[in-house]
Amino acid sequence: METMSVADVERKLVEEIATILCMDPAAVKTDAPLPSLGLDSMGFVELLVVIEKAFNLRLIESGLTREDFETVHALACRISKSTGA
Amino acid sequence: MKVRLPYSKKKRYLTGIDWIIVALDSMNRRATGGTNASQIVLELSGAVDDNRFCAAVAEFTQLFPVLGGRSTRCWNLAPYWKMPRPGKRVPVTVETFNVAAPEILSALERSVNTAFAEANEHLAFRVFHAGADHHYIAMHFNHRLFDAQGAEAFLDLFHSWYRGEDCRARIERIALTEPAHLCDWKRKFEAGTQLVRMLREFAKTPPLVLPRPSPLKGRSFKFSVMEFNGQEAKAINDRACRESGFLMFLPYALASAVQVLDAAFHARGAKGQDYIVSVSVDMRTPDTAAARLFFNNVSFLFFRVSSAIAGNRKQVMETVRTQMYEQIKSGFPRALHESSMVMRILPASVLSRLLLWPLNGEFASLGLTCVGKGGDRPSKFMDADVVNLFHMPLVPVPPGIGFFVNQFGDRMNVVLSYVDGMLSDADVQQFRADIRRWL
Repeated sequence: METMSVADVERKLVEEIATILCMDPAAVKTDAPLPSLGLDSMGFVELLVVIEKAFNLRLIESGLTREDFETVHALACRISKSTGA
Repeated sequence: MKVRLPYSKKKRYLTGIDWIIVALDSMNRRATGGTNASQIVLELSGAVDDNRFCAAVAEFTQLFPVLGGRSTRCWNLAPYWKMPRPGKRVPVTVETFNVAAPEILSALERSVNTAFAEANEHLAFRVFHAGADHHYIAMHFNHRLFDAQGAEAFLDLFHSWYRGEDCRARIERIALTEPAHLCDWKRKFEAGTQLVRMLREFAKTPPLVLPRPSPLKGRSFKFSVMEFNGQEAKAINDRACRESGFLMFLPYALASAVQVLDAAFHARGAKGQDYIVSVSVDMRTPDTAAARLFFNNVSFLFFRVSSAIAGNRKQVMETVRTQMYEQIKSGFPRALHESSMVMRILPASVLSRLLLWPLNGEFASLGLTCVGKGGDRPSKFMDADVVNLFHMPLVPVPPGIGFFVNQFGDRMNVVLSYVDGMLSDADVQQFRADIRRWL
């Protein structure tokens, strides 16, 4: 898979979250906690599914710690780290 | 206030999920004589003026003719919600009672178990005065009209309107239109195939079910309501995040429910092999939440938990998390939504029997619903402080037992709902002690 920077991953995540929540990508702030964007358990799992498809990472089996998943930025860093970007 | 309602004055087509809810209503009527209903309870501290409240309810509810509709079938065979004739008064019961504080739960139970008098009556408000400054308002509704989130949003809207806010834009945004969904049959049948495949998986072993008391007809539902203050709720949420994962409260709640009820299931000689838990999930997105206030905007997930691991919360959470992931990955909630459109061809009474066919007359071991905070809420309702808000759902039989969690502000409530006689008082006491210990 092509190496992606944190910023690239963030852009991809913003697009996907906007699709899941049917909202304008501009409204998805990368430093806002995911629940404050309107993401609940269902939406969060949908996002994890998208991440598996896009980055080949099955994060449901990771610890799902708050530090790694609280914001889009934190999640992008976590993905970048795992994919060796 | 004059508002323009953007919908057909005559009909609103029902979705497949709406029709399943009608079928569950039929199922509950057949089993217990009750309906597929619920009520939201507001606990208030301060003054509540009965006359003003009754007048406000009467005026507000007349803004929504949909409240007085009923389900019927169109010439094209699609079921729809028939709106009442223009000018016809929406039947909404409003009653007030004085109740001694220790009797409040019994009074609330009587309220939610009360049958609606008319076929087109789906909503009732009851005020219970438990003291000069202590009141409860119950909004009792049939699920044909609202799901849990929709009912909370309706109550919020009522309160905004009561406070004198201009609610025209909010009311006009409410979508009361729905296409007939009589197209894309190939996609619907493919979704149906996916549904059948999954049901076959679930049907391999019979679900563990509590023996139901006999006779069932005429039995009411009983409730155990447990409140957790802000500090306790925060501790529960932190533990759920730590043990189950970020935003993984549902697997945590399900594992706790199974762990806590396992003793009662075995003590009462439950038959079957594995727990099967049906979980209703909200399908609204933030941008559609305000518009999708009426009818049912939910789907379902189903989880199988081996009774051998029921006492091991960590293992249960892991299996539930994995099943939740796989079901969402396979698009199950949407497949159910899609395929249920085909099921609308069946009369509700027939569909209610068909729903029980894969599991040999059963539906699940128990039902579970988690309702989130639902946005910021005013701390006052009318002129009183809102102390708490919780739900009291009648769980369709089968299974006739369910676990309902809601968050209100920084508080959390856990409600156990069951058909009278399914659990003993000792079981319920044990449940309460175990929930405090394990949740």
